[in-house]
Amino acid sequence: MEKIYEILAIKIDEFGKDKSNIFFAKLVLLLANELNNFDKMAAYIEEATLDLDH
Amino acid sequence: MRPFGREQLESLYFEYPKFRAPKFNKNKEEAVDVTIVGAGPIGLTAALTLAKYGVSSVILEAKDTFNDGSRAICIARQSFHIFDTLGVINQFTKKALGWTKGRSFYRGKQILEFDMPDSKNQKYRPMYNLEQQYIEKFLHDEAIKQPNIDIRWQSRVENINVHKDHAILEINDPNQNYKLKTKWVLAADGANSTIRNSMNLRLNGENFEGCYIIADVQMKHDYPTIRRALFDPDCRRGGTVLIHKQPENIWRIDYQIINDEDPLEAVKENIVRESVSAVLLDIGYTGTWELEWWSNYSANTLALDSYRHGPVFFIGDSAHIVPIFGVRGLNNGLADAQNIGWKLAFLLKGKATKELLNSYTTERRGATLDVFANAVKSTRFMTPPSYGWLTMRDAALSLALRYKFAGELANPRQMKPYTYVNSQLTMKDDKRFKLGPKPGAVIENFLTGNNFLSDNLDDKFNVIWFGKKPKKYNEELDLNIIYIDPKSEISKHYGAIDGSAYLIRPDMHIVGRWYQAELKSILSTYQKILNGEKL
Repeated sequence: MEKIYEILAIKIDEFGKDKSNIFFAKLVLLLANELNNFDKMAAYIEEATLDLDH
Repeated sequence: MRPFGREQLESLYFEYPKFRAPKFNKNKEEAVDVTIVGAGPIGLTAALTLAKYGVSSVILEAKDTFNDGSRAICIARQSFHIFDTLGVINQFTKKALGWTKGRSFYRGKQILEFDMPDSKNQKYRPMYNLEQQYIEKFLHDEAIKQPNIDIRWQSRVENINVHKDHAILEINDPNQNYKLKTKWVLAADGANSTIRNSMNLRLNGENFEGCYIIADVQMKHDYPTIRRALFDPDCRRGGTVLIHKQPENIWRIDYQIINDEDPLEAVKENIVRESVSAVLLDIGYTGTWELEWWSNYSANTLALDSYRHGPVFFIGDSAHIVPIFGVRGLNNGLADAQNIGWKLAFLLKGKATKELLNSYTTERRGATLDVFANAVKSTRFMTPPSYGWLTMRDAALSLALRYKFAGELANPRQMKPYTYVNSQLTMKDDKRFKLGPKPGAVIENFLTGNNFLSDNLDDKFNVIWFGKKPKKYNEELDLNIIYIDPKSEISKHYGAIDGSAYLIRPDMHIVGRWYQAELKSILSTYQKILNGEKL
């Protein structure tokens, strides 16, 4: 996980604020396709919305 | 709109006829059974549907010719079946361009190629392209042959007074003002319906922000009849372009007005020419072309809360306005016209009670809401309404360059006939069936020898009977019975055994099915339908 954490941090810096959102949206679609489980994916999306201000 | 120097109706390929106003003098109030307001494709289809059952109608049309411009160009398979029942299909199959395939491109690279369902068992292709003037002309050519269709051109409905069991229309034509008393009104007078406005009825729903220009050009371009969608192309960064081939070497170029463009400027001829020219270069066309016609539109999902108000039924765009993506406007309207047409005919011919008409709103508004659900998805993809939708759309398009699953998100979800699952005229399913189309759905066509199953249907209710003629069958029954070999392929496809049966409405929708049928059950169901009782 630490390695993924680092890769993502570097990618966000590389793409900047302009392209990061598209990058993340693509990443999520790829992972959703791989997971192939709507309920789990929807639950993870909800999880990710929690505590965004903290 | 037409290029500078050409009259409003001066087309490169179509000669608009000019129809005269009626010459008769209406000094007294006239009374008729059915009045159809609007002689567009929907009004004409309603009139022809009534006429084939022997029901007379008067059509009132404010204009003196067909609608200007190609407008609704995509005709779905089920609409071809409607034209088939009206006896006009040959003109359509001869002229229209059938198509099955669509391609989507993102920044010049193909990301999706989709095929609409088609097979040897289908009599018609999933979709056809034909300019709306021809649709109207072919229907009109048939309508004027019918002695019980009275088309009155240049006849504007100024007002309507609706009563419990009739309506009075106030009509103005160049020769007179007169009143027409009518038992039933079919309002097929389009998106700006005079009837709807006179009755103070409002369309409710959603307006989408994106604006489009639709431009027709004439050119000799050798690309097949494949619908192309260009997302974020070089010629229109941030926008979307749709391209359709039509008969007469006419090509529909349909492009989004992008954020920094002024919609008022975008409709000017020089800007349209520049925009079209850029699109043509983008698709590799370098030959000559002529601008034929253009117009603009925005996407809306708007509908009346009820399609019936007393003796007035709203059909087509007067009842609902849908985005063009997925080609649902015209096709949905044609199904409205057929639906109310056969029901009203059954009533006026004394076969059914007025209660049968109660199913019209349930069925056709249900179809509209289903159309909305699909059209909203398509519209959000074609014209993302906010930052969130734009981000996801662009992410999907970017991924689609390498992943097929993402390209599927760009599939426009073309029109399919609606299943009347909540209709009072639809039975609960017989759970013993493991296969076959379900109650409320349109039949699945099948090739049997040289004929299609649909060729055996007629204007009555139809029974597809798997097996030999049932005992106690009375030839005078008001049903058309089609016998199918229970060992045949079609029987397997329908999940049927010897003695199974399907009851089919005149519009090809399935009322219900019996795994082991008894004729008396079918007759009882049929009688309930005619009485307007819930099944």
